[in-house]
Amino acid sequence: MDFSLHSYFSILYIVAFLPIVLVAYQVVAQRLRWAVLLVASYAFFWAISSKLIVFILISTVSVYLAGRKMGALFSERDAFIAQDKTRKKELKKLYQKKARLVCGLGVGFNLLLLACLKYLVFFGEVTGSLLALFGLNVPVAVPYIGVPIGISFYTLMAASYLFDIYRGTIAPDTNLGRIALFLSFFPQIMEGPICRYGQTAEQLWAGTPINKDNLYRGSVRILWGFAKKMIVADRLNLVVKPIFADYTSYDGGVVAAAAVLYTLQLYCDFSGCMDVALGTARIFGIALPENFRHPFFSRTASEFWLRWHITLGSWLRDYIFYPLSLSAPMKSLTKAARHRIGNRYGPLLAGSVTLFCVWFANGLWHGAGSQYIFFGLYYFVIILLGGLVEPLAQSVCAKLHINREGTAWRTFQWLRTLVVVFVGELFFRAEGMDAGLYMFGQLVGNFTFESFTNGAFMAIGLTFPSVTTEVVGLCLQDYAAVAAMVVIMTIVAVVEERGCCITERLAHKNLAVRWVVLYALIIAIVIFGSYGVGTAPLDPIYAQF
Amino acid sequence: MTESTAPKPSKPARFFKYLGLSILFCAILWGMFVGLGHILQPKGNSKDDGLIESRAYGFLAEPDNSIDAVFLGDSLASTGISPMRIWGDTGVTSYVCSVNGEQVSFAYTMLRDFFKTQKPRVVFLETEMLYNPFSVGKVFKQFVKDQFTVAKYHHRWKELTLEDFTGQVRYDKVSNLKGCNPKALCEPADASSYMLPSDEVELPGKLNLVFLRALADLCEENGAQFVLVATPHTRDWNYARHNGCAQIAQDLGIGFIDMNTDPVASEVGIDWTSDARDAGIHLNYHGMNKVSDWMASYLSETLGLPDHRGDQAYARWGKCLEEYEEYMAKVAKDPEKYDIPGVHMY
Repeated sequence: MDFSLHSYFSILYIVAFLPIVLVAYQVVAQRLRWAVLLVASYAFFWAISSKLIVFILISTVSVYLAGRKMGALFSERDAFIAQDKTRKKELKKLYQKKARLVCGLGVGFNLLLLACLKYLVFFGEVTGSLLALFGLNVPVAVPYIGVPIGISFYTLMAASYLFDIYRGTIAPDTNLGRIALFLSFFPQIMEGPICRYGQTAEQLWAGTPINKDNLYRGSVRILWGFAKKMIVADRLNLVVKPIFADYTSYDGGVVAAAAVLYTLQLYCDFSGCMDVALGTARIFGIALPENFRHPFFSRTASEFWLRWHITLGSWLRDYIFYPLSLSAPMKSLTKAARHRIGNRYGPLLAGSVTLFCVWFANGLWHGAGSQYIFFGLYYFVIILLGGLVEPLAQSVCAKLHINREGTAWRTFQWLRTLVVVFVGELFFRAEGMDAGLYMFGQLVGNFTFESFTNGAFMAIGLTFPSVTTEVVGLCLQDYAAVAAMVVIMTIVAVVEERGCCITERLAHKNLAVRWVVLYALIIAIVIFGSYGVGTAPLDPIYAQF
Repeated sequence: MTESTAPKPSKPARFFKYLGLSILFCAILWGMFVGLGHILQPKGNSKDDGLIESRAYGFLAEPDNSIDAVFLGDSLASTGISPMRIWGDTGVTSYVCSVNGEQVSFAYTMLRDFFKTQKPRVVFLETEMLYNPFSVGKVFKQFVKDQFTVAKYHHRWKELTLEDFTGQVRYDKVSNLKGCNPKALCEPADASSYMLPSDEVELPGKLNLVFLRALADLCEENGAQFVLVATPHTRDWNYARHNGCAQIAQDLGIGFIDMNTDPVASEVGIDWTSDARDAGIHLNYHGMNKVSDWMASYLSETLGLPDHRGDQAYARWGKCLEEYEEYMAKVAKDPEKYDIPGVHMY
């Protein structure tokens, strides 16, 4: 059980910080509620990152100023157009160019901050390695300042704010406090979701009173997130952590199990954190965008990314994929490719350049490590191959009379996608690229069930020298608890896939049913949660990105 | 469609309705926690039964009001004092209630629990604990553990038997070590700069002092004498801390024994080449015996605590002593085997 205020799963957060904020929010006047949220958000940020809070302040002021500057440019442009409508096109072009410069500077400055804080050490290592290749063993010393919590998330939100102003989707905000709250809102600062200004800024400002419906729905969502995190993700850490730490000691069967269990752990950790974030926001009457939509029902890798970390995918689509695809050089490339290699593969080849940029950015966003870049490029290759092979697959299926909408084919697609996801997460979690390749080699070349039959798998665990000399792992009851949660999550997912929102349905039930659900969740977390002596609760994984 | 004509409840009425519902919700939840806590609570007092801090809580198996002295503290208390050695020397009954690396708030909880079944005439606090870092989070954690047995022993859902649902708690596994954790290895300490005289004063942290005062009050309420004791150790103990503890003891009107300064140090006679377990942090069993011998005479002669040897009510202590001596012979024979964390016998 975590007693410090450094995650949403700490007991201090749930029994002290959040209740105090809720009470303060409700008792102050509606027009001041935004201030309560802002103070709470900065207090939460300070509790985790202390002095590094200065960087979110710098980002906030920079996007505020850049937004105001773009707003002033657009006002000036409109005034000139009103005076002389004959120059409308020319003026629009001129001011769009000026606004692009301001937007570029604002976004560039924030990305530079991100690069300096998060990636500089990595780039220093890469530079050192490159210099060594040329025989120059020059030590590249890069100072490490620290990484503020959520910098990868709020930087993308800051960039989207400026892009949206540039595109005319939103008007620049004249209120610095509202932008500060939009970027730092405490339920989303650690792991997202990556919100757009148009989605949340006004809701955050509105100061909607807490009501019993939102309180109930939010509480159920928070408890559901706790259940996923504490019953599944934290419990699995006792077996996932030692396998990845000591990967050379295990055969392919254990590696396969580690890939599956880690994927489950990551999902329960990240989506559990999202449940807590969305549930908390819901209590304040704020609807944050969903970040997951039952990703394990996907039938292709592309579909998986439409259901997993949705707000990152949509950010990359809206601010990298579309602008690049519609840019003049890319249009020229597509035209040239069509001319050279035909209408079928020409656009695909040109599109692959854009796709590469998107997936490279996806990998790099996750972290400054070669395994993350590999992870991004892995999906680039999988999705590109999917596009290339699709015509052939259609033709083969037609010849073999395979019904592509039939259950068998759909099941094949589902299983294939699961394998793709498991392998991707194996590289993602591995302790570096070499470790990932070694584990993949074991998976392919040394697959055996021996560790499961001779008891070696059940003996995997962690040591706690101050408590016991024995290795502490998972027993059959632990796996049964995980399996039970997986079954419940699957039932919930199936029901929601059919268009039914369980929390909404529950909110309309009578008091006894609603309370039974709350009690069941609380008791399940308290009893079956993995905490206390001999456990290894997981630090929220995406908070490190 | 007809509109409801029922008047909307007033704001205060709604407030009290929700307040009442909230209290009812919490009360039912509390009841569930208490009920589940009874099921999950270990039904015995040994480590095998699942009792957390079973070494320190071994006193639960002792007959009520049978312990005359209790030693609180961290690992320095459990490695430095042997109640069975004290019994063998003088027939005085004592117990060590300590947990490694703990802060002084834990000693307060421990003593509060101790007083529920025992009436010791003297309570000792090993002073190292006063200088351990204090964490408010740990106090909170302790509070949660105290209040919610269901959270403290939730992991026992995996090992529940029918007896857990129907049986009563039975604390019947009497410890032969009485909370002591003897260490056998020897790593000499460098005592060249140990206890150099100084006028400096290092007081314990403010929050540690809050709990120290609470301990003193608790002892006073229960009619027990409260004494600070610094067992011999070279690494973290110095004259500044000695002066700090002497000042605090004077302020609180309690006793203070420093085994690192003369005349007590000479009387104890620690040899840092043979009595140190890990270069002056803990004592090994040679050092522990010397400290226990001195303490035995202090309890018996200075404080006048009674000799229970020969008293039939204390016959179990005599048997424990035999088993303790057998165990110590094994410790002396195979130091490596018996000097590892988490190993202690009953």
